[in-house]
This record gives sequence, structure tokens and C-alpha cells, in this order.
Amino acid sequence: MEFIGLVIAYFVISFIWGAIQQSFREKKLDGLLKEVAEERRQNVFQAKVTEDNIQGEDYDWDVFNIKVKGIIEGPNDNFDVKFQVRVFDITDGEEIPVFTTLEEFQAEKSRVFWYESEIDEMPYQDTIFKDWWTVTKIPKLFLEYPRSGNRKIKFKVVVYDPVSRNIYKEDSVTISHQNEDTGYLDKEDNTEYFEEMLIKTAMLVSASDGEMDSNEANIVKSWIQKRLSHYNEAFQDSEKERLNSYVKDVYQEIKADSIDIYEVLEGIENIASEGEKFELFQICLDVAEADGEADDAELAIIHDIADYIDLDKKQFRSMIEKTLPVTIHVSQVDDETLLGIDPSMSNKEVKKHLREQYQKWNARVASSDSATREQAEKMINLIAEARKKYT
Amino acid sequence: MSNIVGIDLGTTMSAIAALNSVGKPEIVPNKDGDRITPSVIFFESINKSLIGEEAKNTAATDSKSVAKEFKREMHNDDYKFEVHGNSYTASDLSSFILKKLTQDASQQVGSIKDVVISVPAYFKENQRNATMQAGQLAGLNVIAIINEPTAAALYYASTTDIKGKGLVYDLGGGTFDVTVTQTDGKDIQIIASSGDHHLGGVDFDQAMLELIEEKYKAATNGKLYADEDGRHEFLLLAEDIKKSLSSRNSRKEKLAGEDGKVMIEITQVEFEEKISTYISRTELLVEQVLDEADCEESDIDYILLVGGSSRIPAIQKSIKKLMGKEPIVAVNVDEAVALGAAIKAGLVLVKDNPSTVSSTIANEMRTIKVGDVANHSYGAITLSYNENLGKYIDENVLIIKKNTPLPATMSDTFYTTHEGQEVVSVTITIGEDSDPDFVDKVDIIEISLPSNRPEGQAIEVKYSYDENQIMHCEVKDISSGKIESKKIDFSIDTSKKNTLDAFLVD
Repeated sequence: MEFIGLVIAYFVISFIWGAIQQSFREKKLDGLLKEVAEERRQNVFQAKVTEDNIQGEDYDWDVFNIKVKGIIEGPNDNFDVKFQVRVFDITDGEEIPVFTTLEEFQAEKSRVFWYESEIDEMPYQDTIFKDWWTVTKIPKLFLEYPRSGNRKIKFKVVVYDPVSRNIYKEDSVTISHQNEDTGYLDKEDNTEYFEEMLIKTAMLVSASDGEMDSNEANIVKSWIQKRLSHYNEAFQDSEKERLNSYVKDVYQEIKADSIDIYEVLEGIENIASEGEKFELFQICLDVAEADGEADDAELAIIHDIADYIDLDKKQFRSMIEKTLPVTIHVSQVDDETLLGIDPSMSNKEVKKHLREQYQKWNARVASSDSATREQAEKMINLIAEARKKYT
Repeated sequence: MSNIVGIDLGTTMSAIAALNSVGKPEIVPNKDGDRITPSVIFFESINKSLIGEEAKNTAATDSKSVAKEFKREMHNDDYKFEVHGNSYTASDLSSFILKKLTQDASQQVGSIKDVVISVPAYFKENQRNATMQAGQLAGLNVIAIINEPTAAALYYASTTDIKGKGLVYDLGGGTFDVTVTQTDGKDIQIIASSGDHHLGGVDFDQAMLELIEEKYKAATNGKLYADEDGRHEFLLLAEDIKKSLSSRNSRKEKLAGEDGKVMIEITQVEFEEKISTYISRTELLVEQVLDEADCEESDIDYILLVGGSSRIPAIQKSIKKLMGKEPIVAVNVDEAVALGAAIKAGLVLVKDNPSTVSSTIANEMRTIKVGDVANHSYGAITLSYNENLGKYIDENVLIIKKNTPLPATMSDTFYTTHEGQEVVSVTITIGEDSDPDFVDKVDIIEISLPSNRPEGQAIEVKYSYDENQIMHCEVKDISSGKIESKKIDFSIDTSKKNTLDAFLVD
């Protein structure tokens, strides 16, 4: 009996001991699991975007710095990943892609922004980025948003298997951004309007000297033809009809002298991108140059256009010097305008500007191109003449 | 020992100088005893020509047969002077002047073969080539080309004990150069140099002629001359009046024009007003060179006037006002360049061919040091992003910048623009403009690249330019180490043979 009692006691004690041990094990595992859960909670994968600046010898760019931190869990140690960044405008509720002008940031066969890193190897099955790590820096200059104004921009960062494309982690971050440029959807909305305003402005330049020359008309016609070639074939005929009809209307309006050019230019200023403004300006220059000479009226309207649509001064001067050199001016436009002297400049600023202009034209005076030489000679004399006034 | 000779091949006047037995340069007069010779050729017939003073004076009787101011056309491949069924380039005509100068001089100092010829500092490689070609056509061995202001500074430094920063103001018959130098005894370093291609005495002559015409028209309401010969005649008078107004306040002249005789008076003040735009141009250039030399007016210790047109009082007043100090007028303005060119010839021969130089001259030459700079910028055309236009455009990037001390080696790194790019083409340019349309393209180097590489591969472009105007261009693909290179010799074009050698009948 005594023996049986001992056996029972042994089993009871063993059971109780086992239960205690089990309880300890469970508590330890639970603790470990809690620790892991806590670590994961603390190191949850997340992305952020900061605004930064990068500089090099010949560039100085404001950039969006895309960073991530936290855990990336893979199937095993030493697993491969790729990082992908995509950018959307979510201001109006849906994800509208942001475009880029830089080919290396473009998705295949589109202008949609699409960044994909090279393959990176994660050392551990659970690799944790404790500190913020930069995935890529995106120059702001090269992004094209769908609309202008204050936009909500979402940056989506995805970490995935480069072979299976299974997603390991992803996170998004949304920032507020003021887009000063015309959006690409705005542009699409404005395309027809821009085309018509360009035609109207170019025809006004053509008519400014009192007659619309056939060479001038050919410039406008060639531009329209080129423009039509960009349309889907199915729409080309209807677009041609629209533009031809518009040309006829403008022609009548010019004959009736019923166009206010400043209204036209204001329309352009409101909707056109910088690139479009320069496109319009170049066509106007080509029209003014088409008959081989630029008279007072043509030069005046060209300068008015440049002033009104607020073209970059340096670029504008470079374009006008190339297409409408002083050598084809049949009458003298105001010398100071021609030389780029702004009435707001101080005496010292004018002298400095004239010195820069002199340096530029004096370097061109021995050009191997005779037209450039002739242009440079005339410009140097104008500069010297102007300098006398500011000595 | 051969003669050591320097030649100032000027737009309106030329001069020749040789080193004497102790290594001092001396002007060698022409056969008429004149120290300078007008750069004018009168083609009297198909096989007879006159050069110099006589040609200049004959111009009024047959202006179509007179070639002058052709130095201004050295850059112009289209320029041809047509006379008596023949056609001459600017190099051909210059060769006649050189031949006249050396033939006359050799009668006094013995045979002349090796020469240094001066050119305006702004001359580009093609103009320097044309000048060297002229020397070849004249049967000379052009051992070097020297910039005119450098030659003048060299002469002045070798004869005067000067120290500090100098401004050489060289206003000649057709060209204007300004150079800033740093001198310490006979050690001369050029800091910056630039020129105005079409500014000089001939422009002032033309301005004076216009003034005369205006006065004549005001008095008679008629024309001063009827044809080109008449214009030439009055142009000579204009030059004469211009020269006399350098020492007088006014001059009266009886003009026998197409509408009768009229007495006119031209004053210095009127002339100064007439050429005020040209004076303004000279001031702009001085300011530009000071800017390039990183100098203020007050940093300049002395101003050296060179060239005949620097005698004009309005010019001297302008430079004095601009710089706030009196210029030095001690140097013979018409001769300094030729004299300096002769010293340069001595320096070159002592270095390259010492056995042809006497020990006295060699010792003298070894006391002189001169360092020059690149007269133009040398660049490469690259693709860069234009923010205004929102697209990539061609841009001229300067590798060796103007006024870099020579010899110079400079490099820049560019990057391939697209994935899989298999060739990079580097266009070598001369000129300061960033716009490729306004620079001269001299050569192209192409380098083929390994395929299947991402864009952004670094390509290094390296230019080395030496004192003999030879440029080595190297294009290196950094990642593969592959190099393509080219030697561009700007110094001479030997393709043209001396087909005109027999023409000169003096």
C-alpha cells in the first residue's frame, strides 16, 4: 500500500512539476513571441519623403528624397529584393500617375514615373533597417503632375522579389505639393486652345507689316501639318477641318482688325507651359523672318509677345539673335530694347550688361560664318553707341 | 650664322627687324630708306606690280588694281582679289608684302630664311595658318607666330627695366589688341589678351572722309567725288588730315570736288565726335581684358601704347581717363611689334637650333623669358538639359578656357545619354560661346563603346595645348579604359604649294 502510495505521489508530483515546467515554457515562448512582436511593431516597414537638394559641378537640383526603414522579411537569409517607387496625384480621390521627362525614370513606353532599383541582397531572413535609408532621390524639376495648383502627391514604395515579383513590403506616404507648372491633363484640356492661339498669334505677326506673305503662311501651314501628324489617324481629318476653319476665322478677324493681341497673349500665358511658350515664340520669329527682313512692326510685336508671356530673358535673346539677326532689320528698333537694356537697370548694371554683350559679340565677330560676322559687327557698334550714353 | 628676323605684317603698314650682333633688335629699312612699308600692292599689269609707298600713292589712278587691308580677310575663305584675270587670296597678297620686306632687307643684312611673323592676339587658328602660309609662299621658314601685343611687351621689357602689371594698348591700322602682362625685368608673362577684329586706322580714315564729305555737301550740296578712284584720292587726303590733327587743333583744306572748289576746316573736336563710337569700342575692350585678367584699373602699373593709331589725341585722352594714368609714349609705336618679333625669333632659334645663333646673341636671349596664354577657348559639343525649353540641347562646353597659361592640359567628364550607347562623338570647337552655332568646329573624335551598358557611363575628354599651337585631344571611356586620341596641328597647313612664287615683279 505504501508502495502504491509512493507511486501515486510520484505521478502526482511529476504531473505537477511537468505542469509547472510547461507553464514556464509557455511563459518563456510567450515572452519571446511578445518580444518579436514588439520588435516588429517597433520596426514596422515604413516610407517617408523629405525635401532635399543635390549639387554637382553643373547642376543644382531640389529633390524628393525617398527613404525607408523597418523590417523586410524574406524566405531565408541572403534573399534578393528590388525597390520600386511610384508617384501618384491623389488630390481628386483616385490615383493619377505623375509623369517624368527623364527617360531613366520612365515606365516602359510611357512617361509615367517609375523607379526600380538594381537588385539588392538582404542579409537576414528578417532584415531590419534601423535608420532611414535613401531608396532614391527624384529631382523635382523632372516631374510632371496632372494638374497645377496645390496637389496631394502619394509616393508608393514597394519591396519585392525580382523573380516572382511577390511583394515583401510596401508603404505609401502622401505629401502636399504646390505645382506651379501647367499639369499634363491641363495641357490636354488646353491643347486645342493652345493650337488656336498659336495660329492666331503667328498670323498676327504675319499681318503686322501690312501684308500676309505666302512664305509666312507656309511657316504656319507647316506647323499645322506637323501638329496634325501627332494626332491619331482617325482624328486627323476632323482636326484638320477644325484648324483650317480656325485659320479662316482668324483671317477674317485680322481683315476686320478685331483682334486684341493682349487678350490672346493673356490666354497663352494662362495655359501654356514654358516649352509651349518657346514653341509659340519660335514660330512667331520664323514668320517674322520668312520674308527675309524684319521691319519695325514685326519687331515691335515680337518684343511685345516676349514681354507679355514673360519668356526667360536670356533664352529669348538667344532665339531672337538667331532667327531675327540685326542684319535683317530694315528699320531700327529701339537700340536699348535690342541690346536687352531694361529701363529698371541702374547705370552700373547697364554698363555691366553692355560689357557682357560686347564680350559675347566680339567673340562672334571672327566666326567662319559671314552672316554671324556681319551681325556681330552691327551689334558691337550698337553696344559702343549705347555705352557712350552710360559713361 | 643666319639672320634672326621678325616681321610685323600689318593691315596698313608692315616692318621688318633683325637682331644685331649683340642681340639687340633693329629695324631694317626698305630699299627706299623707309622704316615702315605700306601693306599695299598695285597690280600695274599682269606681270608687274608695285608694293609699298609707291603703290599707295598710285592707288588713286587705278583703285581697282590696288590690293590693301587684306589682313582683315585672313579668316575669310571666300575672299578673292581679282585683277588682270588673276585671283588672289589674303595669304597670296600677304606673301607679296613679306617677299618685298625680306628681299629689301636681305640686300642690307644678307639672306633671310627663318622668320617670326606677328599676328593680332585675337587671330584664330585659321588666320594664323593663313599668315604662316603667306610666309611659306614668300619662300620663308616661319619658325613661330607671335601675338602683336606680346611682341611689343617683349621689346619694351627687353629695353627698359620695368616691373609690375602692364596694359599693352595696340591700336594699329586695322586691328586693335589689348593685353595685360606681368613683367619682372625681362621675365614677361601674358595674363589676358583680347582684340577687336575691325578697328583701326582705316576706320578712322573712313570716318574722316565722311566728315570731309559732309562739309563739302554742306557747302555745295554736291558730291565730292564721282567714282572709286576719286574716293581713293580723298581717302588719302583724309588720312593726311587725320595725321595732322594729332598735332594740331584744326586744319583747313581746299577741296576740288565734283561741284567745284571749296575751302573747309576740320577741327580735332569734330573728328573726335565722329570717331566717338570707335573710341567707345576701345574702352569696352580695355574693360573686357581687365575683367578677364581679374584686374582693376588701379592694379595696372603702366600702359604701353603701340600702333600708329594710338597717336590720335582722342585715343590717348580716352585711355588716360579710363585708366586714371598717363600712358607711356616713349616706345616707337610703329616699330615695337617688329622689334619684339625679332627677339622672339632669337628665343626660338636659341631653343630649337642653337648652332645657328652666335654665343653673344644666345647669352642675351637666355636672359629673356616670355609666357603666353591661350588666345581662345577650346571646347566640346555636348548634350545638356535646358530647363527653359524643357529638353536636351547641344551645348559647347569649354575645356581649355581663353587666357589659360600655356602649355595647358585640361579635362572634363561627360556621360553617355542612353542605355546601350555604342559610340560617343566629340566635336572639338574653338570659341567662347556656349551656343554651338557660334563657335568654329575644327575636328571630331569618335570612340566606340562596349555594348549593353546602362546610360551614364563616364567619358573623359582631355585637351593638351602646347606653346607651338599643337593640341592633343584624348577621349577616354573610363570604365573600359579605351582611349581615342587625335593630334590637331594648328600651326601650318602644308597642303598649299607655292604656285604664286614667280609673280612678284617689283
